Amino acid sequence: MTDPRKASATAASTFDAEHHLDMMAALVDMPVAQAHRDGVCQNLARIHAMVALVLQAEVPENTEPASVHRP
Amino acid sequence: MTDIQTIAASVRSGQRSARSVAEETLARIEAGNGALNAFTQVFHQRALADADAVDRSLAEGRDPGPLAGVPFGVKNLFDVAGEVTLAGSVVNRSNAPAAMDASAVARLRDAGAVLVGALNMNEFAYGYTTENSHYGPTRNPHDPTRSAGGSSGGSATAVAAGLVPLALGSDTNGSIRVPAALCGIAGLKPTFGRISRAGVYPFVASLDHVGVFARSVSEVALVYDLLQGADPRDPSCRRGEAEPVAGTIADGISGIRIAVADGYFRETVSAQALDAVDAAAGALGVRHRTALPNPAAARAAAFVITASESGSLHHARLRTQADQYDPLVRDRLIAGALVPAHWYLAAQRFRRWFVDELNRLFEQVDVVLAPATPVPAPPLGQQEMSVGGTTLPTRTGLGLFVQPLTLNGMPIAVVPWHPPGRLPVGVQIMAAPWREDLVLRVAQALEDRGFGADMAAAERQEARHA
Repeated sequence: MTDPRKASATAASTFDAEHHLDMMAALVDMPVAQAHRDGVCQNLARIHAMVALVLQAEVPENTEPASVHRP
Repeated sequence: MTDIQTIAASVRSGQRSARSVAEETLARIEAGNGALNAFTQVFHQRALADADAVDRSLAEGRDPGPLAGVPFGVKNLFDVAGEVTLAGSVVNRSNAPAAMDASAVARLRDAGAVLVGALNMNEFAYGYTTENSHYGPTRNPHDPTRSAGGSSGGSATAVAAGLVPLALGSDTNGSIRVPAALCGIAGLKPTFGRISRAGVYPFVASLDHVGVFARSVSEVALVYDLLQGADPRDPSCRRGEAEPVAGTIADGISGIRIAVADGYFRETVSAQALDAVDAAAGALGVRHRTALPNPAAARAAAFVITASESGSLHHARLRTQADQYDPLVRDRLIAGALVPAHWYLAAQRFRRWFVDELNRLFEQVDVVLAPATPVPAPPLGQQEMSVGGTTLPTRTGLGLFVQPLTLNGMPIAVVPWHPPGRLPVGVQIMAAPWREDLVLRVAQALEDRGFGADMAAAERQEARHA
């Protein structure tokens, strides 16, 4: 059965960096100058591709985030 | 360049003064730094005053410390009392000067070492090439048209060029290991939490480490021991006693189970970088290979965590001062500030899995060897690099083999492999968290078998005498 948490962010082909930028920049109150948009979108696309790799990895459902780092 | 132990011994015995060592060092920096751009600031007066204090201690019969008179430099994200901590930026120039030294700087000065300057880096430590649009690129001493690696490139170049015998750097995703390899010197990223980060400008709080550059493993071990210890100023710093290792690095490798990283670490890699690992395995008699758990996803998780934490850190200033950032860093930080929590937490969940899997792996083997970079130092300004038929962006591709391995906070040393007539590359030596002793024993064993900063020079000398 597909893990529903994965489905939302693995559809790399549908990722719209411009749209993501507009939505998230408004949410977190981050003005992005027109001249910076292309560079930011390229980086968002790179990050999204990395997220897809992370979400494709087989991680048991009960795995806690390593928010407290204990090496 | 004389090694750390020899300098300290000569000063402690009164054979030479700390002031003369400092004056020589400052003259060497004056003569050599222009071509390399390793130092962004040289502390002439401070260095001479500290050196005089060491000499005064000796004259008054007090012990000036085990690093008496040893000159050192620090990546310019370490606080130095009275100086503004730039972290490679111009946006920090308006900050107040640091009220006190970073804990790591204070420990070295307490041990008698003499701080001579601050060293160049990628802005806010975000990058692998030390190409900084504000302060210029740091050049590789083996070929000044090439990158020193980054982000602690100034630290590595300063040591490799013999300007100082010792430098501190930081490693979040490989920023000690990449420049150590490309500049052909020894480097150590200790276990996360082993060395205090108090007074070090943050990049990614859950991944930042402080570490050491020197020309030899014994020098790295000596300084690492002095940097250890609990520090209430850093909440991530381990509580408890220091675990010194310098006395054990020459114990040899008998009983240590060593393997070579397989799969991912042997795929997108140049022949020379692979030769280095295979030469290390051959020298140590290692035949066993092991696959690390999903390194591609580990790299991706580190990438996402880095983007998100650093973007959040800079969010407020990016809103109003984005134009003052290095353009390439700025765009990465803004994108990072727009990462949703779901992505970040997915990366942190993967991280927990990766930590557990690696801990299991380290029940089967003690030490793993892997290449440090896919290639030797690339030319400055190069946008893309070709590695075994695959094209990678240079700025991120240099981190292919270091970035996955930061995620669990384990200790990793780099020992250089530098055959005559070729650029240096490095071998990563990793072990379970808190086992710096194993990492440095294997590193020393490699140095004993011909690896190390002086490998090319030693072989040239042998050839001359043959």
